[in-house]
Amino acid sequence: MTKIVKTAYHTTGALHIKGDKNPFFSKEITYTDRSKDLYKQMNLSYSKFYKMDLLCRAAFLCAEKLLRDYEIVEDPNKIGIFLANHSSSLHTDEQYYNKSIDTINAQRQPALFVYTLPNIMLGELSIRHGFKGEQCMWIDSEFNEEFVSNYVNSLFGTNKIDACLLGWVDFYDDKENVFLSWVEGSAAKAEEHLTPKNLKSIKNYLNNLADGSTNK
Amino acid sequence: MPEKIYISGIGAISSIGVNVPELLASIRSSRHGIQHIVHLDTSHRGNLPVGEVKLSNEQLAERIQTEKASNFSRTTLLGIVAAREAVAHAGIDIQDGLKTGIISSTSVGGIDKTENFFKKFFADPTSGRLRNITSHDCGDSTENIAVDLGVYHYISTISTACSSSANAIMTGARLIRHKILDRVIVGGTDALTKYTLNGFNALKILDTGHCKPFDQNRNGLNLGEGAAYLVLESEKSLKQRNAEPICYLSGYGNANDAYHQTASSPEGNGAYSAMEIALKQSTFLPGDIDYVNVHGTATYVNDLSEGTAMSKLFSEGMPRFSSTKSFTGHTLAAAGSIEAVISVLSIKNNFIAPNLNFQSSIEGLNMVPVQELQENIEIRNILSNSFGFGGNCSALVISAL
Amino acid sequence: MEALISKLKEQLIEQLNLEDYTPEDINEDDSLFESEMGLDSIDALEIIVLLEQEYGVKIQNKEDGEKIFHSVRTIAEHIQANS
Repeated sequence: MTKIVKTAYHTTGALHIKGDKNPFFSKEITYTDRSKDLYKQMNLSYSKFYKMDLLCRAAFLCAEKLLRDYEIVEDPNKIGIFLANHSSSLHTDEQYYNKSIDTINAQRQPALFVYTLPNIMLGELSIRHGFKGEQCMWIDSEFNEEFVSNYVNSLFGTNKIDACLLGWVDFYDDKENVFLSWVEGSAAKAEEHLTPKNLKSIKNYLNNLADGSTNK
Repeated sequence: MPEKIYISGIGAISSIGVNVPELLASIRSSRHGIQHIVHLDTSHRGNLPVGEVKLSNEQLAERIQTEKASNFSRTTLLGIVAAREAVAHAGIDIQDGLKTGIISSTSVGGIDKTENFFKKFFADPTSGRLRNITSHDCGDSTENIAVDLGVYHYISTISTACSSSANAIMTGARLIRHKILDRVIVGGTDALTKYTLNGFNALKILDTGHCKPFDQNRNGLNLGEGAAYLVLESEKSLKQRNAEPICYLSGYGNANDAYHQTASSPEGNGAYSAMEIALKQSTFLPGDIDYVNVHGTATYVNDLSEGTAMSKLFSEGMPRFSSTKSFTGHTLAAAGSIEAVISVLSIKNNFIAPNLNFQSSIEGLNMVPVQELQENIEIRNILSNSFGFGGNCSALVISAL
Repeated sequence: MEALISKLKEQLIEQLNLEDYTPEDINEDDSLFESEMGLDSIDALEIIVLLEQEYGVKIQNKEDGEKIFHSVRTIAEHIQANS
């Protein structure tokens, strides 16, 4: 039975796993600064972080929190990543566009252009963690727990994957809104099965955090 | 035994034709669509050849004759033209009670309208029509296509760069296999924009001439635009409406290269895995593949990497292969589905499209593509590759009945 | 030359988002692309942009870039020879 082993949440400057004794939190005003602050607080050493756009940083930091000190035993060729969001890469699209209207520099931003696709974060996570299995990225008005649960369960069921990262990674208007779950086909210490109902409560928990209506 | 996924309809619009019959005729006469920009208002006109659809937005809107068409982004217009053709070709009645969905894909979305809006807006914040930015997001074109077709049961959008529509095809097949849908319209659409032209130019991977896929002296890709959709159906759906399919989707695979955001690994690991998984699922062996429609963008890195992966997979003998991007240009999110449509046509009409502009093999690879149109040959199984930025590699196996 | 090398180091750190690095961390004779800095092909393109914008020096072929961008010193030498 596929199980959600654990889930990390990243929104409003906080980075934590539910029930965590060690959440990370940054009070910085912009996400540019929040993300760097959290990176330093987590004592990470991955200089490519600074080249990432803010959407990728949000995905990266949440994954770091989720998988910190966790031993992954599955074959990397059978570890998948399935993400969805609402805003695609809109934040970076705008940044890229804003700079290109200055006609002298119109064509000159290769590093920024790279990030004008939402699925680059799948690539960044793959490079960081070595995950080479099947992946997909969906654009939806909100996280579709029914679809993702069925889809991912079917991949486990047909032996396409043995583990995966799944979740919602949205960034726009300087607001990070992320949850990432680590799912395994068989886990001894998990609390939840991968079902639409359980994904829905994860989604709702994230929405409440983002609204500020849950005490952390 | 997993349920067979049938292909019952196809539709496509690209620089080599506004519909499938035109596309077929172009390939048969080796008439490619790469030329200097006509419609897009850009400073690159005259410098960078592209595969532009030979109709303006006004002409496209006129074709589809819908009230709101003049407000649609070019991506939506192209998508509606191709999706309508696929549905008509399949002969399905969307309202017949069977569960029908649409999985579309795009990388550009409505950026063509947004970039025009911003020019005016930045010059004067009180100008520019706000309506022009409502089509910006990736989901907008899908929603408009769904409304146009009358599809409401399941609607989603995939955005994984150049492998998007191949992934849409895969997702659609799975929705049928899991009985969530009886049939699904799958594919993708992308329009040419200044945004993408400038961006790819900044990455210095555009050829200032006509691209040369798999050639030792290749110099980069030609951007293209277009849309293509396929109708995938379950056996139940076909039986219910007493219809015959064209061919079927026998396998699909996706894997990540985990190497770099925009370049493939030299060994082509992601490409190899995706092809291997797709083949395995199809239960066919490498020797059963009659033709490979390669991703073949003609960038230095892709062709070398893809060629290396293919050499490893087809170690017992390389099948015939060609890159049809030498005809259409690289149509980004639409590439997977346009090339799937070409693969379906190859099976049905017994031909292999040539790989234009080839002169000499890539050093160290000894791979020679098909260079002249081949006709009257039996094609039973085709492997079609689509590899996207972000390391997202997809492969499809399309087979004759 | 030394002043140019010093300025280049700062500019590279800025342009390539090498926030973990200070100019003192970069040795002007070390290979840029084979070092721990992990520079890649996109960074090479950014360096091309930097040279054009800040120094008016154009690199016509990506392939020439490999030799010119070997180290901070070779970049500085190319700038001096071409401006």
